Amino acid sequence: MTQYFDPAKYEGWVCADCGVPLEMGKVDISYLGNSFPVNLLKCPNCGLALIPEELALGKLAEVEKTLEDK
Amino acid sequence: MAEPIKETREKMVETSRMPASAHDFALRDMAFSNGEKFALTHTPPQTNSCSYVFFPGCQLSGSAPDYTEKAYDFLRETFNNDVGLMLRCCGAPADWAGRKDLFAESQAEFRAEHEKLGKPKVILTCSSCYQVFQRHYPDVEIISFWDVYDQHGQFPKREFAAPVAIHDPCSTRYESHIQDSIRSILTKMGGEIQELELSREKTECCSFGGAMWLANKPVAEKVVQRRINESPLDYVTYCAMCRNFFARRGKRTTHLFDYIFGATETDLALAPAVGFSQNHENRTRLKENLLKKLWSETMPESAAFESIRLILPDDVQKQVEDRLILVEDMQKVIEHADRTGKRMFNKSTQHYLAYFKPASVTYWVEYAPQADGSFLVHKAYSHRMEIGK
Ligand SMILES: [Zn+2]
Repeated sequence: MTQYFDPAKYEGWVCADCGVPLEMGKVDISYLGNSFPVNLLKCPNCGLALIPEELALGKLAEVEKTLEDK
Repeated sequence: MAEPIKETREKMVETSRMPASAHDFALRDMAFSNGEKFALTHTPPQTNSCSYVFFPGCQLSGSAPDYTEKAYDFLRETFNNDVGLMLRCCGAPADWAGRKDLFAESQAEFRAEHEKLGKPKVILTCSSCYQVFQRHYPDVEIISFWDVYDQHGQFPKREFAAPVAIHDPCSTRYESHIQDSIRSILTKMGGEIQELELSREKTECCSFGGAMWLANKPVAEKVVQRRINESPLDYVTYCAMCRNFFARRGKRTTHLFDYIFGATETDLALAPAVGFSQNHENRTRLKENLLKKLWSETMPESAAFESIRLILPDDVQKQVEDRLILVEDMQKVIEHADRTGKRMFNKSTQHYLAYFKPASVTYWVEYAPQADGSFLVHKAYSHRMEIGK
């Protein structure tokens, strides 16, 4: 799956609850009954995932709109 | 503009083809207004019945709570204290979104409250409310505040440097009696009126009606700009949303209430538009003030998130306003993160990042706790897609 953000920009983020650095991993995101896998930074322990601003306002907003117009 | 679209929209909603997001912000605003932070029904102070009830509507209350209070004082004086108060939303957002279910719910609530008061005549200031009442409550007697004011008000002479142009809200397009009252009030106060080419029944929409500004931003922007460009004169309007839409784009615009109740020494056409969060805050304060002042009552308990104090630098303030993110949305994110520990931390910036999904939208806030217990917000954004594991 294509990368829609630069993970290097998010170095240094840790899961505050588990105290471990976030790592790239597959996360499923869904909307209106459609589900997609995306590569995101997430906590290897509890699964807490980080959705970067540029992904939310960029690709996610685009997909939301496409699915709404479908 | 809104009418032919509405029928299609109702069909779309019934077949679940209408995107949930288009009207969502307005529907949540309606839920706020009909919740305990704003909704209120009261007989006049010191009495248990009333022949009239003042229904100022959510947008005036949120944009100009001080004028709302003064308008209620004026009505009680005019009608010998025989005027109750009802604070809530008329249901226009649900009507515009084609959400018959939500409209019916709001209608049932209104009817129950109205009956409790003894079915008084309803006095309205807002033209969207007026339209909703006319269409959906044919059995409820309604009166325009402006007609009452033209008959019973006071008309101190105000300073007018130049003629003004009146923008009639599109929802009062066919209410010539209201349009007449507005012109009469303004003239009595010394205003010289120059009619816009498109006024009264030909008036244009400010883009609030039908929630066009949410459903189709580029078209809405053109509509409001075109209206602004019709005349270089200051506009006078009598709808809080029209006023906000013009003011936000730098068009010198006053609300008729500015002349009636406003301060004489300030140039009110320059007053900034009221932001969305401030609008909610104002509605709650209005309820709180009136409860205390007129009935010696207090607000219901506040929720835990409301005690979260936020600091918003100017650029962030603008960012969240553009992104339709409210202070209460961000408070909920931080309260949830603090309570559950579910948040991310960046050692080099000392910022936290957390998200929360109160209903259909997921909100993200990057913030830093301050020594005094408040939270400095660095950015906030949102999305609708749901995060799985
Ligand atoms: Zn974790």
